Amino acid sequence: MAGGPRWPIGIAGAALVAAGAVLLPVPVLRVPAGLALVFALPGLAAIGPLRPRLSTMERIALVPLLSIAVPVVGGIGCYAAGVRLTTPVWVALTTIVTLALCGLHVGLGPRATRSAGRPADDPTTEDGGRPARRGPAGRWTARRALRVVLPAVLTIALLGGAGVVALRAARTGSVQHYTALSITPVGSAVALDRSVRVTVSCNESAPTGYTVRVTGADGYAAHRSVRLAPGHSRTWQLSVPAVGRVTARLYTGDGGTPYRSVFLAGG
Amino acid sequence: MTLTADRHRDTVAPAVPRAPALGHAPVTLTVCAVGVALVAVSYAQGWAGADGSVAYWCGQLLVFVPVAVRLLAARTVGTAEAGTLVLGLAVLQYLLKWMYSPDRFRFPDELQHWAGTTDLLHTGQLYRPNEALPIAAHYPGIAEVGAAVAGLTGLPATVAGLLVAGVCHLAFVAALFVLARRTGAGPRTAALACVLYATGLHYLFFDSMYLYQTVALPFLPLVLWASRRWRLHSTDTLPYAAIGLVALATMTVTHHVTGYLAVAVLALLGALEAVLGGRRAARPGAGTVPRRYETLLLAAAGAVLVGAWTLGPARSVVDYFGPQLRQFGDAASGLLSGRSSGSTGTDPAAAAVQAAGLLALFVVLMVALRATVRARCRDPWRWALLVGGGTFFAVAAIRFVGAQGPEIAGRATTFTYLPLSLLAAGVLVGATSRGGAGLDSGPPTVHHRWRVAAGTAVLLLLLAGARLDGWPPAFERLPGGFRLDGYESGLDARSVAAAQWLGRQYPPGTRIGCDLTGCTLAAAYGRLDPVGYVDRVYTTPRWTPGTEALLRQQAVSLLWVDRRLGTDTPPTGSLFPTDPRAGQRNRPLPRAAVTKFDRLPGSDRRYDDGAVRIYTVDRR
Repeated sequence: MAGGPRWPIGIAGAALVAAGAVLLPVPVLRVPAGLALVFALPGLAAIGPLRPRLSTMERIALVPLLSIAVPVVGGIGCYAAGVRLTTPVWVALTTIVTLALCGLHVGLGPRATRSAGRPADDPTTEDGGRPARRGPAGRWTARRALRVVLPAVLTIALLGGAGVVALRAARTGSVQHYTALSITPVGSAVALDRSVRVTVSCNESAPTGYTVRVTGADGYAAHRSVRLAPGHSRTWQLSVPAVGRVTARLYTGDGGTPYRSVFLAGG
Repeated sequence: MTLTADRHRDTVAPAVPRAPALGHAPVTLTVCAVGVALVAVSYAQGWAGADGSVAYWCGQLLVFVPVAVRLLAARTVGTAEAGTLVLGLAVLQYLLKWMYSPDRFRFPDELQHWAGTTDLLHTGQLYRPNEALPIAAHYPGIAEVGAAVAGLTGLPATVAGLLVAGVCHLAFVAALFVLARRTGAGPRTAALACVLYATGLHYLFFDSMYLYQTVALPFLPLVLWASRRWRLHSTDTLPYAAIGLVALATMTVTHHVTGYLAVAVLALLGALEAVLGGRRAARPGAGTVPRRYETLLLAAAGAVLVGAWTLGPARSVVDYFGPQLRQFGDAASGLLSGRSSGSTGTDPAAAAVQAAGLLALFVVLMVALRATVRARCRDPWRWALLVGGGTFFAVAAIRFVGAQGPEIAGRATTFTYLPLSLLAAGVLVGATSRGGAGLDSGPPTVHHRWRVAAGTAVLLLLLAGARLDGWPPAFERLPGGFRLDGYESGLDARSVAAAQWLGRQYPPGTRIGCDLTGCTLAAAYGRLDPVGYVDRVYTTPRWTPGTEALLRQQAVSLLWVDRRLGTDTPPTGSLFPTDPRAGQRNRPLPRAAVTKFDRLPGSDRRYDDGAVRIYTVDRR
């Protein structure tokens, strides 16, 4: 490796660390590691030897796109080989492809380095491809930092604020207040009885008291009462007559009119 | 004037002061960020039921205009500044899309792909039936990336999808920029091409959504870029060929139309390179383009890949497109023979703005054509752009054909607007560079200011046309509020809860009759098989032997009945995915049509939330 490029080792190391972080149950590490494996590391390994000839924008385009191609094309290959696409398979696929590309470049390293030409035309103006000279204007001065950092901080603050406003508005604006009532048969009718499951789901704005009245053939009647907080539900399993329509009516408070009603046709 | 407004590299005067690396990009983007904040406020107003139109339009303009003006007016724009501006604009515009529905996918097509992604995440299997969008099962690229991100990061599928769409959107803009640069455009022209493309009808929303097209699209400029850089006899031949092939393979298995178009564009470019290349241009300065065959080779490889995929795993694509093409053909023949009057319903103001924008673009195309012909230019790329520009106008005419015309034309602009943006950018930069904007000139002249103002006006016209007639439609331009069978606005919390209940109660593939929103949700959240063409069952005021027979014939087991069908009017004029009266339903259904379901013999009402009711259908 002496005299060869060092970037493959760095990227390979990063891929191994990211793979380890994904497999460890630490969410703080898992998110950036997973994102790196899908969006960055395979692409970085793929463009490695071309890097000197690529502009920054070319790298910005190539790295995520070539990375994304790995789960897309590689996933189909793995599945064709009979492998189910689970998380460990995604880890193995992205890591192995990254390592393989790094290994390939290490093997071809000296040749690739020789063939690397003039750096890309990144620091150019509209009118030419002349590479930038690191003159006084190119130095990272305090004034220049201020011209970049201050707007960047302001931009991030504005976008963060906008995001919070949008998220809160969507969460509060999409809330609806309602109650759902459902009835489902359980198993099949046995002799003269059948079982049904009646569920009340509360999504009202405040805790609400409910009464469910269930009626059926041959004068069957049953009722259940419950008080539910928003976001909660309650299920009862009842044994009802096997024949004839069974109706469940839901009442709130002292109301005499059913708030919701569901029914099962005769068995 | 040249199409790309580039000067030869050697023409730079040595005394020219260098532009700072990022130039005015940071400040410009900060001003744009204020626009994002304004749009966020307008969305919040929309959710609260208030009218946020003023904040919305001010925000939209503020996000876009500073970047456009900077690129049109600047004397010098370095690659770093131009790249920062377009990438910044792409990020900000993606945020506009995200803020519309930041907590969950609401657009039906996004839910279709969300369903495929969650299915892959849970089962690890490809090609499983996706009842929400059957064809998506054979184009699993987006589901694979989404599942990989969700699986590797542990994030929910929705967040993973938002990240995938955002990264692809950003990568697309970067790829378009580098493609323009590789074809000879300067940074200013390349950046302006990206800004122009951002005025496309579907750029802001549809092309940034979690859809298979969003993932495939950036690979289209990438494969063109690779074809430009690939030289058979160069030492670098392998990497660029490999990048081109990988891009083609990814498109092939991710999105049908993008794959087909990539092959077509490569074939066109390759043919032009083979025909026009290798001969000296008629006029000095027009350039000599060597004959080359790399692009044709890539086109051939793409044809093999796309053909093999279409004839192999994705055979059903024929069934998917067949009925749509027949429907379109019928509408076109009806229009030509005078039997139908074409599509209707476009807002006159929006139509006028769009027409003005189209006219401006047509002028641009003519200017570019004239310049190319006068220069006796034999650059294959220029001719390909002109052909693409002409295609844009041909496809734009589709909007007048049938009820689906506007949607098809809108979706096609995603592709046909690419060459026109590149052409228009060259013309605009060429026009604004004259009259005192050169590097060696003094302060900007009045003429230059006028030209910049005119260029900005054209861009604003295009932007306004896109926002007025693009996505989201006018009735749900701001989020919030329920609209019966709307797109995003048709999906409310109670309907989602009902669909989730269906998913818990019934096995996947159970057939359910439904309206537009019901079908979307039952398929996405419930994994049920939506039957969206039993409109007769819903619209008749009473049960008839015919409607019962229809349910039996279609093997429908469940019915999704939204009681608001009897009280609300759909803003789209359509109630069902396949609606014979699409666009014409301007009143609620009769009350009896909605209440009759309680009297269906032998049926159960299994679920009731006050609006959505689920009935079983006795299939004896």
